[in-house]
Amino acid sequence: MRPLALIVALLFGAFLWLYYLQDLPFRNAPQQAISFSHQIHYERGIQCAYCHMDAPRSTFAGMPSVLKCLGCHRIVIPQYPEIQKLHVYWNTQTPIPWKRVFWVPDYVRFNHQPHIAAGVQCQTCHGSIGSMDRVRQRVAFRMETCITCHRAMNARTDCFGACHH
Amino acid sequence: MPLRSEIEPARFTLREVSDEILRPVEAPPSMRYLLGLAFSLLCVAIGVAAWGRQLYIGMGVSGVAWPVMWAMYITCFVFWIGIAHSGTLISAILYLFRAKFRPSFSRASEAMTIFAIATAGLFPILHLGRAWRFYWVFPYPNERRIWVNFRSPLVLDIFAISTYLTVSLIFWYLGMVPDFAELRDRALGWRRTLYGVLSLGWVGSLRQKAPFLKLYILLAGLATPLVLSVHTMVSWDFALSLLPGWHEEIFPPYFVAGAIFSGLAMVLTLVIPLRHFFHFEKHITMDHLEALAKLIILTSSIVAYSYASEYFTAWYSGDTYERTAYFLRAFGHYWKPFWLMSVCNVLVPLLFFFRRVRRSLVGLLVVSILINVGMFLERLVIIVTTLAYSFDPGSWGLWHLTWVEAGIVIGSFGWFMTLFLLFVQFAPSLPMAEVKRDVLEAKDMVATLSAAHLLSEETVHAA
Amino acid sequence: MLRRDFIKASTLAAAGAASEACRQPQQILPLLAPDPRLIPGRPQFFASVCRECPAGCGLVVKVNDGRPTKVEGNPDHPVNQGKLCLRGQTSVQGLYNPDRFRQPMTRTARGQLEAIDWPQGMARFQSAVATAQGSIAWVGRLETGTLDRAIRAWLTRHQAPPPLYYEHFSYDTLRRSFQITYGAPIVPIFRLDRARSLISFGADFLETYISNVEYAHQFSDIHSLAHTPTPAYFLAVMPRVGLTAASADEYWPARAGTEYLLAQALLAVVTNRPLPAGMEQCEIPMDLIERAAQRLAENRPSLVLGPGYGNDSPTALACQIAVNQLNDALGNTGQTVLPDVPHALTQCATQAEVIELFEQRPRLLLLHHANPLYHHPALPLGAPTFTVSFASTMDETTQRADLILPDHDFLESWGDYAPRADAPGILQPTRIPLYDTRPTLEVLGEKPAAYSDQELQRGLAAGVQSAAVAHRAPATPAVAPNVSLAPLPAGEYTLIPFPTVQLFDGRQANRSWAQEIADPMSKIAWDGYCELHPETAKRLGYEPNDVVRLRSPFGTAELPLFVSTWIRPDCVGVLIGQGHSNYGMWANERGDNIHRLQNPAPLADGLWHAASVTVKLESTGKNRPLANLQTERLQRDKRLALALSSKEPEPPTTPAASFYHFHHPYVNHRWGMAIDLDSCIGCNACQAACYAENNIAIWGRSSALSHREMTWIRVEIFEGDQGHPSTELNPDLRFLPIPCQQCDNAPCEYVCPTFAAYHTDEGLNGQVYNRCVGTRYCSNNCIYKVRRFNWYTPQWPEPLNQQLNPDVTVRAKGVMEKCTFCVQRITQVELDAATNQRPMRDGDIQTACEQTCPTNAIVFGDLLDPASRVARLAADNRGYGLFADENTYPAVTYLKKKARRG
Repeated sequence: MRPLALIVALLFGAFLWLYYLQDLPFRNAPQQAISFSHQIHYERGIQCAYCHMDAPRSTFAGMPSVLKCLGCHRIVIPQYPEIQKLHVYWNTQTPIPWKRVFWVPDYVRFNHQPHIAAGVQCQTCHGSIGSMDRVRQRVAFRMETCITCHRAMNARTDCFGACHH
Repeated sequence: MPLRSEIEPARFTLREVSDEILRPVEAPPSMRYLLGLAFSLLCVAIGVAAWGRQLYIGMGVSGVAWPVMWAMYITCFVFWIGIAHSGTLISAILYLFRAKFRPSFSRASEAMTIFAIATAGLFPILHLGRAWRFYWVFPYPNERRIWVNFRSPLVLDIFAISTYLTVSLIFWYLGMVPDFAELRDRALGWRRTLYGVLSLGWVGSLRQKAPFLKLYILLAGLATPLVLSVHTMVSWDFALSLLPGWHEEIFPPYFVAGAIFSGLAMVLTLVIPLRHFFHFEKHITMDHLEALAKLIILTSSIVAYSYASEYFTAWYSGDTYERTAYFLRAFGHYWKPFWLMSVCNVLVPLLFFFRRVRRSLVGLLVVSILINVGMFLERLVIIVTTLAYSFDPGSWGLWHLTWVEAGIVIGSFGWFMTLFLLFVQFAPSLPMAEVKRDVLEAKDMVATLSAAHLLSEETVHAA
Repeated sequence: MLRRDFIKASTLAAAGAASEACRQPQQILPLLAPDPRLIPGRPQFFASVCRECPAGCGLVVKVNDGRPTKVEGNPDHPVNQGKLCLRGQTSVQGLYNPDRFRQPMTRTARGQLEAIDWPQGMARFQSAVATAQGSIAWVGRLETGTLDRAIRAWLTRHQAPPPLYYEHFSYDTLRRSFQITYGAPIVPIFRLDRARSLISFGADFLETYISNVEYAHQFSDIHSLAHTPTPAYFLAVMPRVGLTAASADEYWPARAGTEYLLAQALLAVVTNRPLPAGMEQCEIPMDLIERAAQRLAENRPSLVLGPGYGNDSPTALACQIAVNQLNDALGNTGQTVLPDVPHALTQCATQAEVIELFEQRPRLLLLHHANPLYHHPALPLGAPTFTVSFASTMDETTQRADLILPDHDFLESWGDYAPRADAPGILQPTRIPLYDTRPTLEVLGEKPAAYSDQELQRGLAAGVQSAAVAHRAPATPAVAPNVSLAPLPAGEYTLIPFPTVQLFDGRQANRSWAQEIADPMSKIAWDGYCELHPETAKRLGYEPNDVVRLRSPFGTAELPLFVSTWIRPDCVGVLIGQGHSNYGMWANERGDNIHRLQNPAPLADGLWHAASVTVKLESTGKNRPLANLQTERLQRDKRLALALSSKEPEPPTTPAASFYHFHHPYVNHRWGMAIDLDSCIGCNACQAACYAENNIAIWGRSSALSHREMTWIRVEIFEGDQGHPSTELNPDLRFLPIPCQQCDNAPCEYVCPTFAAYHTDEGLNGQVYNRCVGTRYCSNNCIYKVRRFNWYTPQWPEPLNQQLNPDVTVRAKGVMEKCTFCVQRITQVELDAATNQRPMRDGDIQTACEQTCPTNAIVFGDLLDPASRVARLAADNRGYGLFADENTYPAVTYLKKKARRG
């Protein structure tokens, strides 16, 4: 019985280590309603801001509207199965239910606007999305990540005024 | 000529001493003991249930509100920490002064110290709005690159109390090592293993005794300033604020004196039943108890002076906020606890000026309980009346006790009692080694005096 | 893409976020098609008109992701000029009221209400209309413009009489007096801003009288030292000191009902005629009257206002007539009294007309946002009348309805409302309808013709009925009706039913903010109460909080007692607006309905009077603790709410910097505030705006009893100070709004063990909610007691959670919170300025309280900017810091109130 207990304990410990210390939740790359590949679009030369337009002027970066996708895909590979799904969404006037990959907790009032204005590249926080088929979070969103960069860029590190109000 | 109390121990044999002191540990627990333990566990259960409710629903179930945001929990915190101090006074300071009456209750009062700190330590967690984040007040390295606010009196408290707990624990444990060794020698079965581990291989040889005594006196020396500093820091929880009634320079000595005062009373409250139920009358004599009573008079007069000084300063300063706060403390909504506290802390201890009261067990017990009531109320009055009647009259408001608060307070008393009862069951309540040393010294003294024909053996044994 | 659809889509986008409350949204829903006006994360603003009362203030509604979250005044609207009272701020709570009808309902044969769908509802409605041909009545709230025309057209088509617009404050006495003195029964426009002296014989123009935001603004312009170096003189004559009289320079506690004698006396002095008989009944010395008359004569133009609701006694008509004549004699007509410009209230039915209509028992009664049975409980309503109600929530009248076809809330509606000809306003929907409701216009089947913008304007201007004639000279005083003052029977007390700025006539009682924010005078929240003078209370053996039974010849009411020195010993005051029996979760069980005490029938002069009864008082032996949020009203010598002495103004009392104090170095900005006590009228609009902007929780009555209200800014009321005690003949009431003072040397910052409270680089005292462990030491050490603790997890019953401002953290239990000077607004403006690379100007950032304050008492800005208003005010001679001698160096400067005269 002793070795079995030991093995179980080791496995449990490994699980805890993987789950908590390896930040498994954020390593997940959820399957999306439409299998959109950033890599393909990036290779075609489409910039981040073309779709995620609101980053310079709002808290959220914004998801492209369904019509934005259709703008090209009315003509570009309209018969492709994933694009067929897009057409279904448009025809039924249903917004595409994307699963969120990047998020910060409630008490972090993150705003894209000043970061874009300061010239921070999207890849800095979101990783090299341009090389990802399915979006996966590669950069851990810890307070340390934010603070290190804020100090390096001489940005505001005032707890309340900058972020936690 | 030596005092009777110094010669008395010559009548005992070492074997007698061990047997008597260790009887509570070695004998199976009596029905009375078990009932007491069950009762205190019930109190703990009430406290746990009350705290569970508070955690689940929120601090709203307690009576604190705007503007009185601290009440019963902080009172209990200061109360228990205060009690802890006299234990250290007795075991450390009186050790340094070589007080003769010390051994009879030093162990019990050290235990009281440890358990009081353990009880007090619950309250900084209990009173938090988000108790599950209590560890954020500790300065531990974290990825968020933030430290705690070292200017805050609450953080100073953390350091003070953890230091105090560590030193007191080591001091207490060290003192018990020879006694555990004796228990190990007399015990069988699992107890032998337990006490064997606890006694750290003590055999009582000279090679062990010498460094032991050096360490013991060192720890006593280390613990001594803690008596003054820890409660000073706790008093700074109030004195470092700027509220009238809290922002008083006299708080550190006032609180330290008050702590010792209430602790001595609690020692009496614990030791008298201990002495009665476990038949320690031979070892804890009326002379010893009387000495405590005299210390109580001393500390009570310091506390009384502090009250008077506070009031005088408030009036003399001319500061409108001070005057209002102190006036309303005595004549506002909480006048009853205030006057009860004044009577219990200033007038009641004066009874100890009468020898009859000092030497009567009932007198000692009643007065000590009243003193504890008074000291508990003192902290409550200081906290609540200051908060209720601070600067802006438009912000005055009251606090009312709720069931949850009362439940948690009961739970804390139950927790303390449980720990103390368990201590009494598993460890010797008197420092056997020191009592035995006193016995041997007394025998020596009698032998010397008899040899010089100044005293006869029969006189000693006849007494 | 259709506007409706994009609103729908964007609402869906928010639905994911909003519905998940504090957890992270798991989904992101995009728009279907982009709209250039819609930037996710940024609010949109829509102009509308407030329909919380007939004043008709213009609104700007802030909409986040398709949900209105905050309403503010429209700076361009002539009535309110950007300001809004507490009632207006609560209009979002009306939209998201959990008690709203979600669909049509019908009453079954057994008397229960059953939900139905619209086709069924419409069918029932059509059949009821068809059955009741010829005996149809419309009782609704005041409407003007398009809806008014449509209703009239529909009623005409169905051979029904014109609609009865029901407002309980219908100013019957005022209109009748204008009929008598000027020939037309109108509610005129009053221009307080042109007055150099002002007398009110009971009109509570800062609370509910006609247009309180407008009058508050105008009053501040003429009366506050901030806006004029020569303040106008204001005398209040009424048996009870309410909010209006609290701002008066002189107060006469005239015996209830004798106001007409005083008005006639003033008229006599001004026109050099003999005094009326019976002057000694007033209990006001003659020299005061002469002095007042002289002030009126010297300071022209003046304005005299007549009785209000609280002293609408049988002599009120005589008083109002005398007031009209006095105004004319002083030359005010055409200047401060504009009898040829009618207010829309002129269209309201009189109370007598409403009573008569109900007694006629029409076969079909159409109720449109009116609740007459609350104010007139004795009115008959039931079979054979078939009642159709278009109300949004259940109320005392709708509970007798047979069919409920709920209308949209005004924030979801198209419409127009013009309180007067020069202030037209258009309502537009600010969100898609929350529930399955329909606009009443659609139910009636009326489709207003499509207008062009120009036609709309013209149509609106023409639409306001002009029922006045050009100003005529009033007739001689002999026209005044023959009244005499009945002596007060022994053991009885004059009933003074006083409305308040929060509850109006009771319609805001189902808003939790209006209940949780304490009444500014009594500081009582969540309860109705009666007021007695301490002498009276002592003589009768009553203690505060005793439940007293008031018995009039017409009914009884049991109310807990509040003892106050602001009411005459021979009067008993009752708060109106509480006492609902069926008006929603927050309005019910707040005491008895005091309208039962009033005389249900009109008096001999054909008018219904509100304050015409005397009551007997009986003790019930019961006790109901009142949630009194401020029990001490005397400052003693604490120097809180200061006034200028009548001598030279004192220099600022903020101490100079010292060696012992560490001043934070501010580089870019130091945010500060200046609050002018001379402007503050205590209306609590700032509190409501703060609740709306900052997601402040409501705990309810039991928590208010324990002093657990969460208000971030509180308005304290003090009676005089040590040098100038407040007396009954000369009440000196001072309101002191206290937000967080953002102290430079804050006592709360050094005691927080976790640095949750600390000082930001821009002068704010920050409170990092997630770092707070809840030791509450900060609140203990705060000498202003501005910090509030979350005792429980705040609950927002659906759909009130849709009102939450997404820019502000929603706090959990165990966390401390406090005023942040609307840091979310500061941050947004700073960000925009930085992004667009333009400098910030003074006035760009407006805190919620500053934005809504009708009298501009609060000024916010950058203390480091020498050109800002707040920097100038901080150095003002009248300026001082609260508890400045404690060296907290607050960022809020208070400006002393002017000294009392007389």
